[in-house]
Amino acid sequence: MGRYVARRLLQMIPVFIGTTVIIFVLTLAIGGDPVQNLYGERPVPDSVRIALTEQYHLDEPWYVRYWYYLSGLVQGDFGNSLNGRPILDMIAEAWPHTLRLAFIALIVESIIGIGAGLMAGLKRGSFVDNLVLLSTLTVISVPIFVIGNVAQIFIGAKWQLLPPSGTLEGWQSYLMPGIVLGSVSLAYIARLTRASVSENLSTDYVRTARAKGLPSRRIFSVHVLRNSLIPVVTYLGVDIGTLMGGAMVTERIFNIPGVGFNVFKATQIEDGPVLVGFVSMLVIIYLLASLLVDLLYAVLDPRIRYV
Amino acid sequence: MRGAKSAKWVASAIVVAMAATACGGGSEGDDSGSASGKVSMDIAEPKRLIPATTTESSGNQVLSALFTPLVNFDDENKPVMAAAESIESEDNKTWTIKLKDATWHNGDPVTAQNYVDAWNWGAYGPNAADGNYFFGTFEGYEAMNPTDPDGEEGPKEAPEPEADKLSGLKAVDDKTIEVTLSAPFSGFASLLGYTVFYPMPEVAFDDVEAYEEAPIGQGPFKMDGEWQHDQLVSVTAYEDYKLGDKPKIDAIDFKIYQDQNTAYNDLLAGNLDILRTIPTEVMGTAQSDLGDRYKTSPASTFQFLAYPTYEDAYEDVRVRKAISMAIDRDQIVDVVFQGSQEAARSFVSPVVGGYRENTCGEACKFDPEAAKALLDEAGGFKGDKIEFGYNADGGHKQWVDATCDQIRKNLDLECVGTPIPKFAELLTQVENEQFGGPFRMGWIMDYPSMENYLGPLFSTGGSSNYYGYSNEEFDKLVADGRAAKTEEEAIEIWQKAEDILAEDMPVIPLRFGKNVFGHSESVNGVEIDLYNNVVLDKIETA
Repeated sequence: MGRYVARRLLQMIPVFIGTTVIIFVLTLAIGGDPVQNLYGERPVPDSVRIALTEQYHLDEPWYVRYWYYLSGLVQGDFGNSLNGRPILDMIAEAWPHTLRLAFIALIVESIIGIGAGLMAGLKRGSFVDNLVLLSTLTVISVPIFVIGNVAQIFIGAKWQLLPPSGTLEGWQSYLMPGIVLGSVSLAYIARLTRASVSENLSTDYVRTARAKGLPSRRIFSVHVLRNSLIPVVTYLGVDIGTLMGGAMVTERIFNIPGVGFNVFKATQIEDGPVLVGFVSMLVIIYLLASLLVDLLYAVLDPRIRYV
Repeated sequence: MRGAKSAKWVASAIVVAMAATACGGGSEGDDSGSASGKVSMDIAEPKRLIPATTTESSGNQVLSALFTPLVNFDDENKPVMAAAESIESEDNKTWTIKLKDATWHNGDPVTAQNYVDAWNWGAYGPNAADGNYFFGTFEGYEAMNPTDPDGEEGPKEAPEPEADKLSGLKAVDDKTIEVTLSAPFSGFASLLGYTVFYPMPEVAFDDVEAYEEAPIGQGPFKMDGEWQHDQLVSVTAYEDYKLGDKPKIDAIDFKIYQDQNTAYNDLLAGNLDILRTIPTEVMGTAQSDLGDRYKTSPASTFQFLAYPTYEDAYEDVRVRKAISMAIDRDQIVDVVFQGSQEAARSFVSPVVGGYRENTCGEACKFDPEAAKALLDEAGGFKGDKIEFGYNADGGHKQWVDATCDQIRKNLDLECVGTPIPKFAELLTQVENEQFGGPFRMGWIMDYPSMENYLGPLFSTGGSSNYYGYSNEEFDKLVADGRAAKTEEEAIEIWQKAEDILAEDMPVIPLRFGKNVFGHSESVNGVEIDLYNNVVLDKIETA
């Protein structure tokens, strides 16, 4: 187990370098003129151009800049945004927002998603089953910005049940965006659980368990549920990575200054340093999340062992 | 003003879970319904909050609460004294500014040296202040901003500036500043109304980055806590404010939005009091949504299409005029912009003194027959098609395409709109003479003077004269106006310069901006000034 974890951690190094190089090269490949973008349609004063070019090594080739970046990173320095803010500060401020959103989304999608999936899977063809299928289909097929805007206009502006945007009213502010963010995954989880449950119900070991007279409660919780959750946990793990990456669309609609919000803004103004900083962080989180999921398999399924 | 009528019932199991995990721990919202005298207003994340480096609208708005400028502007957009007691000059070259008594928010007196230090900081090239170019008229500016010897592409870097102080700027005593300009400039007092010319306290220079997280000013409001990036800047009334009338409200929350539509929904929900710009997407319904809380006022923006001087097809002034005459500005304003902008038929904005209606004359009057006749007289259009360049990220596609349709119909010419991803790329193409058609430009005034339109946009080598228009007589008139004895005289000369533009038609004036804004039922007296800032001392809570 220990060796396995160590090996996985070591594998992360080349993955990390590879992904950051790609992002570095891609942000440069956008071309354009980041200094001019800072100024919109105004002329950039020469002095500003000279100072920024020097500070961010804008006139150096990408590998030199990447080297500056990596050596800074090793010393815990993510560099500064083109506006002069330390990127580490920006990450530290953005993270809690995204975490809260992700937390709500995860709770909503796992409780409601798994719950609905179980009910539907255990009683296939029933009214509940059809209801779950139909409603999840609807959610999956409507794009998230439509769900977000509709929720904001009705729940936020017209009925005024929850704050329409921002983060200034405590946890209430995160409730609506969190639910919206979790809604699509919720639908997938419900369907995944349903399929997995109904498949497990017809397996040999469940039939055997029934035949030897185990109480149906025990059959369900030990044999069906546990096995059905493996694909769901896989999905949730991937989803954690995605959620931590912030939700560009949702955070933008609801004005939540989280990770996605910052990445979106940086993309728009072509703030390369910010983009690379945030994405490097995301890469690390994604790698850690997938490691965590792999380890969780072993907990759910004793047959899986890591050496 | 308050948030959602927080229906606690929405909070189901999730809420319990949230509470249990203390995840919503940072509940900052006050649920005190009608917090009296507190007003909220939308801004975007300010770029910086240091006066000399703030030239965009959100930063300006916040700093306008924290600082009082040397001059304000009256209803005719003429400067009136605010933080300055008097601004005088014999020759328009050496100016003496006397200050009123005032204190910083930390209690220290404001001195002339505070202004001098702040301006020197702004003018010093390596500080890379956005407002750096505002000090270009001061004597000694060149020594602080050496130019790169081999251009920005070259390998050499610009030399270290020889000076870190403007030679034409000194504090004579605690209350007197003396400014020497490199050339006479009659409109200097108007220039001083801008954000860039606010003073900075001594403490600011110890650590400018730290200062900007909670700027200390001398204005009607002071910071309440720090700048919460991407969320909020809070200010409260400054009790010892002496530079003018005390504001009628106690506090302002500048809420930071990334998307105007979100802010609009917040306004409808009563979560936001003042929305400074109503987004175009909701313009159709905003009037009925808001009723008499939907407001407009003239803004300084000027949208136009510029002819590339390097392109032969547009060399004949008759061709340039014909294209302009084939455009129905009013129709585009009504249909595409739903009345949120105004048709432009002059080369300077209505917000500056000296503006005259319709200086462009016949050439801006929609007249398809005359346009066609003029084009035929010029021997037709020499190129194969008219190409309108615009940046694709600015929401310009609709009106450019509509304009092209009009030209196609009225002049029987092929016309296409050519999107270019970013404005910067469009400029690069123009600079390299790669783009062969008229391209869109927009201009926002820096200081309220005709000269601020004529100088940068049309004089030879003007900072935003990307299209290369050059007319010696025009240049001379603009310079003469700057040197004129009085503002009135200057305006008269500049108006003559504007008439030359109407003859030469280097650009097609299209639209002037309008501030379209709205407010909630809990505030009154919301006005927007010519710098696009909400006038803070007129707001009242209802």
